[in-house]
Amino acid sequence: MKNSTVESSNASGLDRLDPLLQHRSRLGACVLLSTVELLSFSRLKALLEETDGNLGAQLRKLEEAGYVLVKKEFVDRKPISLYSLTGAGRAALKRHLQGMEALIKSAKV
Amino acid sequence: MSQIHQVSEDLQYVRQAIGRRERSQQIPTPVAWTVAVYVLIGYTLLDFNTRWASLFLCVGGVVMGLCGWLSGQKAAKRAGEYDRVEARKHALHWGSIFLAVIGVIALAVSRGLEGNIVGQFIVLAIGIIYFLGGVHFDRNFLWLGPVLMVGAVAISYVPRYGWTSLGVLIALGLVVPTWFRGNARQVD
Repeated sequence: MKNSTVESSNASGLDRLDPLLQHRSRLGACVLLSTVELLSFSRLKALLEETDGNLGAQLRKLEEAGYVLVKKEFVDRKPISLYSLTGAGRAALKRHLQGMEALIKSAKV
Repeated sequence: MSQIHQVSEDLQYVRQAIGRRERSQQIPTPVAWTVAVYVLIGYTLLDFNTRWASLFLCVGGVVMGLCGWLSGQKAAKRAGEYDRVEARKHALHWGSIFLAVIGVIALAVSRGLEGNIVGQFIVLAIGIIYFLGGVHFDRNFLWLGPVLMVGAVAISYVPRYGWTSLGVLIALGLVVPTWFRGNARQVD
C-alpha cells in the first residue's frame, strides 16, 4: 500500500516539486530570471505586480537557498539591486517545472 | 485536486508576468524618435536635393546607429533589464541595415543603376529588416516593414513628393505608437 502511494506520488510529479518554488512569487521571479541575464528589483516588482515588502522577503529566501544572486549597482546615481539566477536555481526550476508538468498530466489521465 | 488547482493558478500568474514583460519589450522611445527625425529629414531631402540627401542619409545613418545603440543600452538599464545575448541580437539585426545598404550600393555601382532606383532598393531591403524586427522584437515594425516595402515600389508611380510622403508615413509610424505608450504609462 505504501509502495503504491510512493509510485503514484512519483508518477504525479509531486516528489519533484520544490517547496521553495511552490510560492508563486518565487516561481515567477525564477521563471523571469531564467529568460534574462539580470533583472532589477523594481523591474521584477512591476512584472510580478508585488509589493516591495513581499517581493523583498521572497527574493531573500531564494538568495539564502542559493537560487539567485544579487548585486548592487548605481544607475543615474541611484542604487539598484540586480538579480540573476544561479546554476542551482536553474536546475531547481527545471526540476520543479517538470514536476508541475507531470502533475498536470496525471490529473488529466 | 486542490494541488492541481494551485499549480494551475501559479502557472496562470507566471504566464501573466511573462506576458507583461513581452508587451513591454518595445523599441525605446528616444530611439524611435531619433529614427523618425532622421527618416523625415533624409527622405524629404531626396525630393529636393539628392546629393545632400545621400550625404545626410549615409553620415546620419552611422551617427544615428551609434546613438540608437547607446540610448538603447541606457533605456535597458533604466528599465532594469540587462541581457548581453539580447543586446547582441538587436545589434546584429539592426546592424544588418548597414550591410544591406552597402550590398545595394555595390550592386548599383557594378550594374550602373540610377540613384532613384538604388534608393528604392535600399528602402525595400530596410522594409524586410523592419518586418523581421517586428517578428522578433517590436510588433509595431510588423506593419511598418510592409509600408516601406510597398512604398519602395509605389515611389515609381508618385509624380511629386513621393519620398517626402513615405518619410512622413514612416516617421508617424515610429512616433505614434511610442506617443500612445507614453500616455498609457501616465494613465497607469
